[in-house]
Amino acid sequence: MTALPEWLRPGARPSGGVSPRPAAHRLLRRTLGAMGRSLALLVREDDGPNAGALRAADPRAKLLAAVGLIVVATFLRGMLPLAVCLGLTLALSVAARVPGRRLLPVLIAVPLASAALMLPATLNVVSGGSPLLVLWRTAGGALGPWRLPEIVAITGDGLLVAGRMVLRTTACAALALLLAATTRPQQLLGGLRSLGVPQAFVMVLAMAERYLAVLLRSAQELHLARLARSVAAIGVRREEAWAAAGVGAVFRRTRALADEVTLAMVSRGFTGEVRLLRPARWQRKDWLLMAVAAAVGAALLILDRRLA
Amino acid sequence: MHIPDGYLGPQTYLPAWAVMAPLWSWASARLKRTLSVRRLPMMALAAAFAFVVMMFNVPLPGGTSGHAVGSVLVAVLLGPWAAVVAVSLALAVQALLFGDGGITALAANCFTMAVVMPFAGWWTYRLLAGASSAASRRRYAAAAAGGYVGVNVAALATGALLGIQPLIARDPSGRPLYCPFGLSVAVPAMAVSHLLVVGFVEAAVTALALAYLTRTEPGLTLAAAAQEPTSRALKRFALAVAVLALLSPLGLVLAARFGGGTAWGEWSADRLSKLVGYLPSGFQRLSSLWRAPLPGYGPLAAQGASTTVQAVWYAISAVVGVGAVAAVVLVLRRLFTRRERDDRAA
Repeated sequence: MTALPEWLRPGARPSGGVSPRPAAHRLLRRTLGAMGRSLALLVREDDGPNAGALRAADPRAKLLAAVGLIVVATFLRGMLPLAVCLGLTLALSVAARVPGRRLLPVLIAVPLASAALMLPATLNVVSGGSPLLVLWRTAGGALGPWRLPEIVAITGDGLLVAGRMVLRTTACAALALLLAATTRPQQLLGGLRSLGVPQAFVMVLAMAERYLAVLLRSAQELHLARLARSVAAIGVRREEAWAAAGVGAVFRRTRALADEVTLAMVSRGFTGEVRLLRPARWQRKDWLLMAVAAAVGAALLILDRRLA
Repeated sequence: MHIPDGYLGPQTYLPAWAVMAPLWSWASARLKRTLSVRRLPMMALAAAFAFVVMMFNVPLPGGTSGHAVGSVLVAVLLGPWAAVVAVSLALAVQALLFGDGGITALAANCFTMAVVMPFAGWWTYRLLAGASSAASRRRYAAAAAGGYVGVNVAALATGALLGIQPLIARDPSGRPLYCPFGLSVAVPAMAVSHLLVVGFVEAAVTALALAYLTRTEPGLTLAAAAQEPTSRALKRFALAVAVLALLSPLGLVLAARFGGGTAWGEWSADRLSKLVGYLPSGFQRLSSLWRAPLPGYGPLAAQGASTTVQAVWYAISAVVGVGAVAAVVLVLRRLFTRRERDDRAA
């Protein structure tokens, strides 16, 4: 019996000219990770018995309440009302058992990104105001028609402007997350009907969400196949050509699927007209949810105007 | 380019919804005529496709990477009105289910990425591609140019939307309520990154994906292009340019109304000597080298005239300028097509 060659033994690592270069795969792995996360959000298991009370509420009521509160948040001017809005949303998220792995990224990434963008806005050169902390003293003078500032400093006005932006973007993102995390995608899109979105759009959105998972899986398989076959970097130009060919391949799949879906729909009697199931009746708890959201929104607006 | 919630004030996002609502219904009515029964499944799949395109990361020289928006590609493959609907739906799914881009800002995002971008790209593509054959280099180059122009015009529109926030919404103490960066910061920040980096990603993906599809599935990609003859696309483009030319005095009127000055860096010799206190000798020598036929966008006699007279001359200058540029482009186009015909004959 012949002994197994070295490279077939378990635990053997490839050696010689080509070695796996993690750097070449970083982009592929990152794309695959993003696709996997998107897919996981779309194709979710049914909610267990632990699901919070908000999940049971009618998606239309939740959608109206959340969108209404987001609109209210964009009208708020004071730091306190914005902070109250964010605090209430977070408390509700915890009460509704929004999983931490969904809540934390939003709570960390959104304020950080927003704060980084708003850093220049804290300076006197952007927002004006009296300086709190002088960062840099220049000689002053002028550059053509531009007067150079004599100092570059963080100002109270600047901090207020930046703080308001960070609080508002975080509050809006947290509200949007609360809605998305407590409602299944199909129900959420179906609920758009209550916002006055035409039936045809609602139906197409719901279909798009369903086939998005199919196309995402195709794209994921393309990337996985590529990852399995690549041992080294291939250069930016060929990488670009590969990505574009991938986009083209997904488009061909799109066309083929569209034709198949059309035929399947026509064979079941579809004539181009949209008919949806009659939606369920609103229950008392749905009205209650709407009333509470309206009361909170009004209270926030009144508080904001009082403080202004 | 996705604007999140909180960056745009209601004064901006509410008009954006008002602008988008009729555009969406018009676009879907047009698709109903052309696609009939196939419309709904095709739009659903196209929206899913537009979403997936944004997930493809393309490496860039220098170790970074970016992703294409794909609106121009969808416009080239399925027509611009299909792109309006498909990209809008993809953006709606992103905003509602994935928290990417704001819910209140959805209409504004759709305006830049699902209307401005596909139409700017589509018109550029149609104008440059002309009647070239499906697998010609000229068509791929036109698609690349379409992608580049489309994403840059969209970035400019996004920068403008963000940049007008401090002008229109301030609290009683004068502090900006929404995006605090003015036009002088937001527009260059968006424009530079897109002109130098993102534009090339969009151009590469648009052209290469079109080339891939033309080679692997001949006859598929020109379906949308065949729907609209070049002359009609050209006529619409000409109409848009004419409207813009007539609107050109707006800047002059607004500057006069709000007491603004000349655009930065575009001072005349007189103005510069007043601003800086002296006139560099080289500037003095060179400024008399060329005497413009319409100095200051109007004849000398109109220099001190009222804003209305100046505005009329401004519009006339715009028409003359556009005409001159169009003449040059038409001559170049004629030369190009002749060379291509010679190539094909050879």
